[in-house]
Amino acid sequence: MDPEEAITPSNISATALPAELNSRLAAAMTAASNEVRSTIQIEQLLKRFSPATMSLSTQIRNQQAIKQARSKKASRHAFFPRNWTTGLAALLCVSILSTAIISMSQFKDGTTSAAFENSLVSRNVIESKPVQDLQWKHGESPQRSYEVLYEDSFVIKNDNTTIIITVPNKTRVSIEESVL
Amino acid sequence: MKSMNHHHQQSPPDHDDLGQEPINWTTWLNDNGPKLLLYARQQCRRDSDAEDILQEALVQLVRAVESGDFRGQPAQWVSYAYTAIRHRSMDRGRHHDVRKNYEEKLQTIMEEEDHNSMPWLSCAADDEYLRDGVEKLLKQIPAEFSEVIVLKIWGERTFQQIADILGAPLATVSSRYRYGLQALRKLLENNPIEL
Repeated sequence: MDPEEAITPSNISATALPAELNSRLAAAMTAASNEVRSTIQIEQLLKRFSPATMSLSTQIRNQQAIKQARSKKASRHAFFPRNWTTGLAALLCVSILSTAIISMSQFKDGTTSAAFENSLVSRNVIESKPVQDLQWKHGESPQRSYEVLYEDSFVIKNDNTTIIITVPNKTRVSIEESVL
Repeated sequence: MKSMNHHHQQSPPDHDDLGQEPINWTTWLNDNGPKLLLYARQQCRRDSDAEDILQEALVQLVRAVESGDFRGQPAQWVSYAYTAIRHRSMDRGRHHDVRKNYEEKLQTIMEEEDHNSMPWLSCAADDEYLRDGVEKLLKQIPAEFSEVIVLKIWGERTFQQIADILGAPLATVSSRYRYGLQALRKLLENNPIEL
């Protein structure tokens, strides 16, 4: 049944109700009908509009935020893989690496030095380049991301021997920049 | 002073871990960003707050989806984002409420101006003359009504979905929608705009 038809006063049987009641009921239903009709008109009026499009800067800002959120997730997975076989392999690699480092810290006299207690770390920046445009939030300092290639040197000292291990380390760094 | 946050570089994966279709977030953002921003604007006093909250909600959604914590279907992402926007704007609103000094009052005036400066809606050129009037009416009715209207008409959510987003009973949500339209109608009667 057509909803408009359902609330038209002419649908009401005039013989079933006393004339006065019928008249009041018809008036009430007409009012309700008008209200429904005007409410529908309001709805139709609103539907002639759509949400304002995002500005280009807002769009870029959100795209960058999504990209950053995704890369952080990827970084977490690198340390905590969900696949258990990958996790086991990673654990094995860490174990082998630890053994290698411990064996490197054994010295000529056959003693195992507490090498790491005396170790020093030096860090040289080899290369630094910006990889992302400025990111900012209102009320905070803007941030720019850099890709930095470090050369980390682990210097392990003993009375007789010095071992220097140099490891290239590529890291992404976010730096807050103040705007003058 | 500079502060540095280190984390290891890793390019984002093109596919999710279940081998499903790659998620094209850019397309998703283009499709849904404007309606989410509209809701954020309806929730916040300032456009700048709305943009911050939208960004935070998007990051929350992406992390939930990419980490596998979000168990729902992609069709439910928009509702998730709406809920996140709502919670974050409520938190921010509480934060605003505790500061009531002179500076805050002064800032409120500036916020009101800002609030009125950015258009919420777009339309065909023929309807451009109506846009300001309709936006003003939407801002005049109680926020709990306009919230449901925004979610229903421009968010294209069902009443059930809106009830879930707001954490309110279904009957309450549909009533708010009806009362909201009635309130708009009454405002239109008092301040007619030529349709």
